[in-house]
Amino acid sequence: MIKQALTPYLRRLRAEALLRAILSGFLAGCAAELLFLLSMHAFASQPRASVCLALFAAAGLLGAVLGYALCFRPTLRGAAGRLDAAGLEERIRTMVDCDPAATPLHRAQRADALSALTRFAPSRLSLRLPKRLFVLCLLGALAVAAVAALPYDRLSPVPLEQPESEEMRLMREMLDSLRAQIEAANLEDEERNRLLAQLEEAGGAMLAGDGSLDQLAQITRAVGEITQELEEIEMFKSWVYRLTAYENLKPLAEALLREDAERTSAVLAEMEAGLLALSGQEQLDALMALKTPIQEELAAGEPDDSEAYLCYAFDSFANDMESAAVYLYSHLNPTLLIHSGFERMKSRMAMLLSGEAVLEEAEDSDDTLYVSRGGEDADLSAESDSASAGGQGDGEGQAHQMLYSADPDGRWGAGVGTREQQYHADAERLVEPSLIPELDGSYIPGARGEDGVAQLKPAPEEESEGSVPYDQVYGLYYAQLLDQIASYAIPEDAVEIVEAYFYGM
Amino acid sequence: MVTEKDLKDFSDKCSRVFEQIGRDMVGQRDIIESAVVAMIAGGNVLLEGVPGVGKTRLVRSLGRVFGLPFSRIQFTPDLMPSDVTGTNVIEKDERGNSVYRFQPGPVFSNIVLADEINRATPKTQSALLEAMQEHIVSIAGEDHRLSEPFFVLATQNPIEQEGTYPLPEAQIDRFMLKLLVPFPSVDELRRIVLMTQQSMEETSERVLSAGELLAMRETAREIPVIDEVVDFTMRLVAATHPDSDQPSETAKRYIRMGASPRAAQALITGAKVRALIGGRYNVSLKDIHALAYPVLRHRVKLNFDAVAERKTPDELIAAMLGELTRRPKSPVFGKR
Repeated sequence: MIKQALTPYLRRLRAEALLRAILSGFLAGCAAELLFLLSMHAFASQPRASVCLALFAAAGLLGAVLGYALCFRPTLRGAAGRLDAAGLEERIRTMVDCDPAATPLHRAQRADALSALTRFAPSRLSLRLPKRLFVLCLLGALAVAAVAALPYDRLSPVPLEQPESEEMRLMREMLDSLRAQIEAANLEDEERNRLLAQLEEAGGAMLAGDGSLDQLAQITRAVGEITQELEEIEMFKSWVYRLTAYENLKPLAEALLREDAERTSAVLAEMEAGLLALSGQEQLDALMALKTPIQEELAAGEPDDSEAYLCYAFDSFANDMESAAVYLYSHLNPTLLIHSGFERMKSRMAMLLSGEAVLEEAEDSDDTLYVSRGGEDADLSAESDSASAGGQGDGEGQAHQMLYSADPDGRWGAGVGTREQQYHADAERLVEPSLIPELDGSYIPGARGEDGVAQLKPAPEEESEGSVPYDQVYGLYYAQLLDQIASYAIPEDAVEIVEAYFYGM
Repeated sequence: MVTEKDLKDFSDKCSRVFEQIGRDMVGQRDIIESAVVAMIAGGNVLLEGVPGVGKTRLVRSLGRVFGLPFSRIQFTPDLMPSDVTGTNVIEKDERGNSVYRFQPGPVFSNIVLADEINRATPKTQSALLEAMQEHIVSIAGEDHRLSEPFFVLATQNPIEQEGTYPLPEAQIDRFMLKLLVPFPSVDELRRIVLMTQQSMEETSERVLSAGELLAMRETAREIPVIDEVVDFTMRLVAATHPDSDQPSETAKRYIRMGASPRAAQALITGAKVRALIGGRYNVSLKDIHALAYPVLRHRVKLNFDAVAERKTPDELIAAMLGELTRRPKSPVFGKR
């Protein structure tokens, strides 16, 4: 009976509850929508309108249903309280609470409450909708509209990690490679830091850019400039750079500075061909022009330890050229010496440029000898000993070997002529003062001083009539000596004395 | 068990009581109603008002209407406790022997008017203490029970404070209500003068007997009170204490000591009677609100700040009621 009496009021309160539930659902929908839009902004991804609407509807419906069920659904007691607050002076609540007590007092109270209820029309029960809820719904709607209207890229706090394009990947690898080169290069700290700073600037431009072709081209130019600058610095720092001052050595030096193995080999081949195309004084001058700058620069410069093998190769090459010059000066055929010297140089340069050449100190040796790996220079010690200025020392063994080395055609090289012609008195007179050994006097054959040592007598300063200049015949004499020694015409215990005699000359 | 007849008669009788008292009193409807509430609820009343506003006349009318013997004690500074309670006197019996006979004092009545109670000494005031609470008078070790129903309606003059003795808290707490009898309005004054020019005699007639009054009291006790009303009443009493678990801001600022648990009893009991007088069979918050002032105004002790700011107890009670009425709401939904 009580419930029946309160039904009209409950119906009205249900309408109020429904309205409140709708508003709370709207608020829930706005909150869900706001969160969703903010997350889309965080990932700079514009959501679809249909998704937004669906989310809003789902969240709103859920919020409304839960709100009605858990918070706003009117109960009998709640309705009684609302009626009492409207002016029924706790009659209805007392009636509901005392139900189903049936004492006269409770019945009278119930009758009194129902009587009061009949005088209170349901329409008088005002619907309460809190203003705050309306305001919140309005603010929620405004917030959603504002966030939805914002551009999606501007709010993105998290930079998008777009998949790297192939061009960008290559660019990045190039930058990394160049960075490694700079760090490994023989540079001063200031130079290294400057180059690295330029590189980082280029890298930063790459990251900040949009990966367009123009940007990539710009970065490529910057990287090229840095690479060229690095090469120039490295070139400048290399000992080989010194050789660029010499016209005849400049091509070779430039090829080496560029680390161009193919070009280096070609230049050496050209040099060898050019040298072999010459003869006589021209060839001698060319040989000297090769060996002298190299030896001077080796003596003057302070090459870095990293170029030890390079310097050794050039030193050896210079010695080979010097040996060839000695041969030529001695009217011997330097062709094979030249050829072997160039071949060795080519081989060493190839190994150097390929990274195979390593220098290490030879064991158990009084002198520091450089033995390179690779096999070809395994008996280098014999060859290095043969390279000496003026043909002194043990160069004779090499020269001797060369004299009698196999020459299939029996020819001695271009421009020199046959072996028979070598000994011809009309052989060209060669002038190279540096090849003349320095003597502290002239030996007069046969004369002995009081101490038993062969006496020295200054050579006549002027040529006498009918005499042949000494330096013209020395070579012939020396060649004949070697011939005699080889044919065992000179007794073994006299070989030294004879050699000393001729050295004294 | 309360019958429907009891309920119906209650309202009728109350109407007749008011009608009869209205023949002797002009205006003062609220005072009359509160006094009747206290009498039905079985409480004592302290009436405060300027002289001549009808305090004594009201008490006398109540005695006439309820058909209860009425006695008046004029409290003076020289009044002795035995003047109130009575004493043993020596008399000669038939054989001429001297015997002690108890001579009851004016307190041995159903309705006692303690006029200007604050003029008597505390010793004399305390003589009423036991009577008011226990309805017993102890003299020379012998208890003399007072007849039921027993009411003390005391009066005090708010103006003349010189030579007065403020009632102690223990005694003042035994008054269920403290009613402030206001000065009548001009119109009421005219009517009073016109009425008393014709006759000063009370013309009210008896409506109830003592038994009926007690029956009405029992009926009122059965009135249901819902939990919310009880809770509100308890929170109201607790709010008057500055150091309770739920003090009001007003109490913390202006009240030195709050109401006793008797105040809560008085509120609920009086609200039940008031509801029945109003034709309701349940206690309402409105009843509590209406009774809060007469129940609490003499029970809360103001601190110096309240006195300095000239705050009255009624103002503080109104403020505390306001604090309690602003019930907490849901911040979003406003759901109560």
